[in-house]
Amino acid sequence: MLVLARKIGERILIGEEVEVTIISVRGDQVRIGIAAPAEVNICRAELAHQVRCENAAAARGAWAVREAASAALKPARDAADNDTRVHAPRSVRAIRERRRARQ
Amino acid sequence: MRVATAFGEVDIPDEVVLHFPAGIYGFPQLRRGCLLPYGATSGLRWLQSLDEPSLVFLTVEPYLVFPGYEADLPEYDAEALELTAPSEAAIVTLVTISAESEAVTTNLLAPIVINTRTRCARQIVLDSDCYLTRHLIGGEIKDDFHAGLSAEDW
Repeated sequence: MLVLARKIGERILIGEEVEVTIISVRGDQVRIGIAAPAEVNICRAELAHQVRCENAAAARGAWAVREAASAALKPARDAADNDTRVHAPRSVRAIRERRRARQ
Repeated sequence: MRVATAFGEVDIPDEVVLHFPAGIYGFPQLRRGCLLPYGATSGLRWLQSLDEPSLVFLTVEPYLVFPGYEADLPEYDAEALELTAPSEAAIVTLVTISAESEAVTTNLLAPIVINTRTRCARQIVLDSDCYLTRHLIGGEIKDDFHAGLSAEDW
């Protein structure tokens, strides 16, 4: 593992496109800012592990359901019979308002 | 286009294809998918990979499971999805059927968020203590889920 010492406000570049900034240090807690392209997932490592495991379990379970499911539960081969629309959301918190408030 | 799926070949119109630029956690190869109906139920859907026929998930609309569900998206993820307004986003969550018990759960902590304008999608881990990766599904949704499954298997 590469270990670097950095001061508050200093940055680290990972590859060409991922930039990490040290925002603040208080006691044993460090706040960091990360700028990265959209193809990069960023989240706390322990949560990522938990979600990876859950996704794997979900895929196994769905495959088992597919085996057990009667024809009625399987999608039609003719697209016209499949409702593939994505429905409108009901509660994504107001992104725009939050941004406005911050500015 | 005609695509091989877990259910045989299915006609998928281009306009319903979902793009996952970052894949999903544990499945970085999931780049293109689509939602297919689960029987006649409205809240449950299959999420089928369009590149890997055997990769399929079950999804549910989280509001049906948890009426007060609110996904407060981290700014980075909202920007990565190019969401400009909450009304552009649609959300489904992945369903897990436990191998050990008959429990049916859904991952409210890491929803799949879809930008309905661009049809880009992303699995987002919420910064929240309120939601679990295994939130128990009960009631009508669970009944919908079981309807049509053969009794000897379940």
